[in-house]
Amino acid sequence: MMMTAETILSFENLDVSFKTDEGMIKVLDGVSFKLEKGRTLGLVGESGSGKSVSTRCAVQLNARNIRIGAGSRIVLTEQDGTQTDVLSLKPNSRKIRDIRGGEIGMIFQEPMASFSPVYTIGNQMVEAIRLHRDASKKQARELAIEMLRKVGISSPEQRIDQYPGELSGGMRQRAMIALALSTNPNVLIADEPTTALDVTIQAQVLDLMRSLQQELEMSIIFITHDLGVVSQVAHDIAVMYLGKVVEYGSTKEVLKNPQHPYTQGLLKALPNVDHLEDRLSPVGGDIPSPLERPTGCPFHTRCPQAISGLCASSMPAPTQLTDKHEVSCHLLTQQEAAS
Amino acid sequence: MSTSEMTNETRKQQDAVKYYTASQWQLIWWRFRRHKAAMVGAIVLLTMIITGVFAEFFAPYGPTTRDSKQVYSAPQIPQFWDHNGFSLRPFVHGVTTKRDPVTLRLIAKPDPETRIYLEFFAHTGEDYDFFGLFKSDLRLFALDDPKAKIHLFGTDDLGRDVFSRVLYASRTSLSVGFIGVMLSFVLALVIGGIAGYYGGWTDYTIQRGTEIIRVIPIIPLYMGISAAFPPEWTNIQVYFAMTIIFGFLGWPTLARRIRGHLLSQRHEDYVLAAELSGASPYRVISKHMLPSFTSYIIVDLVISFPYIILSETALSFIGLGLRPPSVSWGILLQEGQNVRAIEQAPWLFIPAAFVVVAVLAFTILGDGLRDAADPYQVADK
Amino acid sequence: MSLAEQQESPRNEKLIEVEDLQLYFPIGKKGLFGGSEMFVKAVDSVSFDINRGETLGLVGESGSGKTTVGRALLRAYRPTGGEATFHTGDGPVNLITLEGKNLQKFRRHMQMIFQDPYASLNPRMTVRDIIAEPLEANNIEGLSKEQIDERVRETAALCKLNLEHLRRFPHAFSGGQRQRICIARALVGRPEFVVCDESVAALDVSIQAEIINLLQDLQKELNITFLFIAHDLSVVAHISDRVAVMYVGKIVEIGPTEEIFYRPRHPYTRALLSAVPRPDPDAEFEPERLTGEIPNPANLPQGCRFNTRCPMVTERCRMEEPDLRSFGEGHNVACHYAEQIVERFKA
Repeated sequence: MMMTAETILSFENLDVSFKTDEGMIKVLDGVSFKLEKGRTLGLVGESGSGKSVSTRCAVQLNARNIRIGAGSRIVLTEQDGTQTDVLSLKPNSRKIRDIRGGEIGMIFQEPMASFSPVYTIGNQMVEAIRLHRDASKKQARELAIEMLRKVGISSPEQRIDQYPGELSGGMRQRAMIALALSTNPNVLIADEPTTALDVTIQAQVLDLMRSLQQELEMSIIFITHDLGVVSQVAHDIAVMYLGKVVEYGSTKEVLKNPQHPYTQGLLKALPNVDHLEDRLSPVGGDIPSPLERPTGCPFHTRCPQAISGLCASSMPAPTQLTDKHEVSCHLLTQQEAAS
Repeated sequence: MSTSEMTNETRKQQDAVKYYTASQWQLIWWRFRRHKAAMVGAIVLLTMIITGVFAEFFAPYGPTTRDSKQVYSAPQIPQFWDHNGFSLRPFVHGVTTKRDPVTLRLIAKPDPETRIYLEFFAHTGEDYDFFGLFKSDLRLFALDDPKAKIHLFGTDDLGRDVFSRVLYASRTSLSVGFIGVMLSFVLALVIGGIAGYYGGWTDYTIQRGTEIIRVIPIIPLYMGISAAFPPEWTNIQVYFAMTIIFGFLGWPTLARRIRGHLLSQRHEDYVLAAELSGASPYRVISKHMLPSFTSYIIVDLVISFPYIILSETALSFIGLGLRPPSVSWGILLQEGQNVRAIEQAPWLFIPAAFVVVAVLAFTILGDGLRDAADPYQVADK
Repeated sequence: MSLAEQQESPRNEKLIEVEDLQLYFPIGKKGLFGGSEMFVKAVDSVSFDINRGETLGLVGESGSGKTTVGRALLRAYRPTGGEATFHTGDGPVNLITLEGKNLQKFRRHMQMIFQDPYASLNPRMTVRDIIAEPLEANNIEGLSKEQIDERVRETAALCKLNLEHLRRFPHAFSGGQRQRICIARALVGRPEFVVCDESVAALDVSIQAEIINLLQDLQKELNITFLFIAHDLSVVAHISDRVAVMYVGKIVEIGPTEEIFYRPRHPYTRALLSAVPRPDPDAEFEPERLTGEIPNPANLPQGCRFNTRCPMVTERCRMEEPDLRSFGEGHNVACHYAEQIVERFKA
């Protein structure tokens, strides 16, 4: 494992399944990654990759039919330096509720998921602040106004008394960020926060998140399927495919020098505004249904370079390319063995 | 090892193909089957319906057959075992009737020494007329001594067999429910369908009309209407009049649901796709919209059943619905409505258990059906 | 017309001409008793042509009216004004006045591929029945069941669907395969014109590329004309021959794809382009700051409708609504200062 800066949230060997009518469905298979202090980690993946499930485990927000493997740990280093394995906490215990929304803030794709439509934005922010911080109603309200101003909402003194439904999509997204940040979290989990927004609004929100991070020195996990977005906001990237981290490293390394065939395929498949004429090169095949999870390396059913007899039967161990770049692929383990 | 793996693999594939080619009804059935409570509900209801429809066969006696020797006699439970030992054939003890010297009331007392055996598929000699289709005297069970009688649920003040009466009553009460639901369904389909498909002011007018009907308090209205039944009406006429009233008053809720389904479906992409394919409005409704909501409609029908059954029971209980000698659950309960019954013949309340069980079974069944009615919710995403 | 002849048909032959297309949705009345009726101008006098065999990209943000334009042309909605002429092999047809049976019959010339491959397939019909619907709904050609089956199989094969899967139901398929079914349904009647409404937006990146390639191949093979509606500029850039940019019900810029993407002349187009994040960590992401949000189409600003957000707004923009002006090569821009923008962009 690579070690550089101080780790604030570390996911260790996360094994997660869901118990359904059709049987146990494995959604995460030994997922490990680390969020470092003051940095943004981009979690990239397509549907079924498990990118949302893994972060939801950190705040225990998953559905009740979830089954987490015995060896899985998610270690949170709090502001005062204490370390907690979040998974060992009881759901609905005092501690996990303190962490959720306190130490770890969350924003979602759909802002209406965070706001109740029947209370004003101010009411909800004041409640959240007072739940996690020692503040009088008046102080909390002032803090809320301050946060709304910080996220670029004009005339926050008036906006704070509006209902979520009265704000436009972009404004709601800003208000949600303000709500998440108002409790002064150490870690922010942003789950596709710009996917539902128009590009010009998305650009504004991305800009805002970047400047807020610098100002507040927050650590952010940014979940997205959009490689363009992630390359603009993330310091590090973990590329996930069917519940596995296949490539992990600094944004520059991963996007400029992708080593896993899946990452390479994704980047090639993207249409590019700067090259109009090229024919796209898709990653062949379909994403397998979670019910039919392939054995061995999950990507072998679509991999153009799959090694017959090997990739289908065994999962490659991660290969450390540089201290900031790790890839799980048999092509690399074989190269390593050869040299 | 490899062969077993192979067969395992092919079986898995066959399962998958079976799932992929499964129609909506198969998917609904597979999902419903997993709902244990609803399955139990369905089996209970099916039993009630079958025994009700074939009451002549399942009931040992007719609904009005009297047994003057056994008035208010307690339930007799078939036994395999008594102090005289074990018997493979179920039997009941004979009954001797004596008059109480003080109250002069007839008292039926089981005689533990006599055994009267049960006979299955017995020809009892008492003929019944099955819906005018055929005459027969074949019944599911009877006692092999033609002079003795078996009363599983005891008898009432006139010595009528409560068990037989309950079966006939189930037929009446369930059929009132069935006809009432069907009637309100037809009305709801037409009215809700028009409102939902045309929308606009048609919808508005129909909606307001529906609301007016919905705000009328039901019980006083039933009372008013049934009090207006001419007393010379026969029981058959009253029966049909009542089902028609239930039908006419039951449609608004259903019509709303149908309208809601139609409205929400009109905005589905696949309906637009059908329109853009050049399908006529008739084809869009019949081929694309109706199949997807029949399953919801069935759920709605099942759920609205208990209301009508309860209405019938309530009305007959307060004496405004069907009248004796007809038998329905409400009438049976009404007959239990006196001090003597409560004190000496609590078995006259067994019909109440049937009402409770039937309503409960319908509700649980409706619940299970509702969960299964949209098999694509989970399969989709 | 044989396939070879079709392919030789000149590229600038017009298939659809749209003139001043309007679609206003009523949103109730002002005042309690009647009074003037209020409208949302979802499409506000839009004019453009689509040439036979080309792909016209239509981009814009939510509320721009791009979806409404597509659906109005397909007559899912009835336009409230304007002209739209469809040049079929048998001469021009006025799309706006088609009604009832005539409209049902004409629908075989035009089709739509939807955004959501889950909602647009009836889960209760087999794939075969779904694909066959345009043929069976209005069997104009009088095909027998065998002929329809043959056509379905042929089209499914073109869309790279497994023929053994035709008797399956949609729930058996993933998003990408479902979208192939949608494409097969759209193309089974061999329409001349197909509206793709965000047809790849709901797909995963690795699948999206395959569907885009498929659409391009089918277009060549069957000589289809596409109106490709999307919010994703890179997809539109990739697939379109020409692009129209819409903003709150109006086209603000239209022209050949290269012109629009490399020499944009409208400040809104520029802002849109700069806001696309590129998957390149070295690329400087400096989106042009657009202040504010898209105006409410029920309550448009006076003058140019972009003036509330435009970085180079002047007094004139607040007073006078700009018309589309030609800048050669079919490049039309609705901005008073289009000339200056190109200068600025070069610098």
